Amino acid sequence: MAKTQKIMGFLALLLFIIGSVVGLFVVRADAAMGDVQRLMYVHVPAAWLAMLAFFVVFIMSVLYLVQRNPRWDLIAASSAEVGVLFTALTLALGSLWGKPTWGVWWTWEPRLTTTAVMLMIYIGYLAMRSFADDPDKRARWSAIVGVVGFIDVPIVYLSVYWWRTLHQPPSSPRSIAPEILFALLLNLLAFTVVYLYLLVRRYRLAVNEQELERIVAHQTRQISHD
Amino acid sequence: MTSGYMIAGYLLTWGAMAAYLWRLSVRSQHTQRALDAERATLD
Repeated sequence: MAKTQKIMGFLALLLFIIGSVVGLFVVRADAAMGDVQRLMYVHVPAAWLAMLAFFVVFIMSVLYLVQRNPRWDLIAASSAEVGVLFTALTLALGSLWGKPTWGVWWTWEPRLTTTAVMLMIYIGYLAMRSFADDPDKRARWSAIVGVVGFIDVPIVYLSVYWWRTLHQPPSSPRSIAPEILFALLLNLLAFTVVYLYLLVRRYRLAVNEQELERIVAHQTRQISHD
Repeated sequence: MTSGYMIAGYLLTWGAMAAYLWRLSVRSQHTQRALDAERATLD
């Protein structure tokens, strides 16, 4: 397990370096936008991985509610934390792209607003977990939030089609230059491996945290019996 | 002109990943130490 994790970590780092080098130095700058377009090679994969992370939270939450296996709860919580990281990164990178392109750091347009709401939902999910003392209640409440909160994720995706305002819809592979598509897909692969690596590490930590919580609760019960 | 935003974005991406990994490592070590101590108490 530790060896697999090390290999994953090495692969994630390698792909992340290659992806950044290709995005920064190999692919030509966009004719209209210039160098700032290179931010798309990290902004777009971060956004996709955030959505994937929350989809995993949704699936694991459903599984938990059906089977009541704590493992599903821990995977959901781990994926939510990594998803929050990717969502915050998506918003920050979008802001850095928006300033020179749109002229503003932030605007309350539908894609940005629904993404900010998504971030708040999953920060709330993590905050709620830290408040709940009872592991069963925590897992049950989290699973419900993990299912209900996911409603916002397809809204984020569809917002650019429903309300055609400032944020452009996703580009089609046929409408962008092959080298840009290559850099985008390479970085998507790199971000996916990074996500999997972070998920595995966070899950292992969650397992240890739960074990520690179980032992401490057991000892507290024994002390109160004595 | 726009390359400053690009550099800031990539630095932010790398920095965020590194910071999260560092935080995970610190928490993992802390939890492992606490777990070992509690297990030793049980023994």
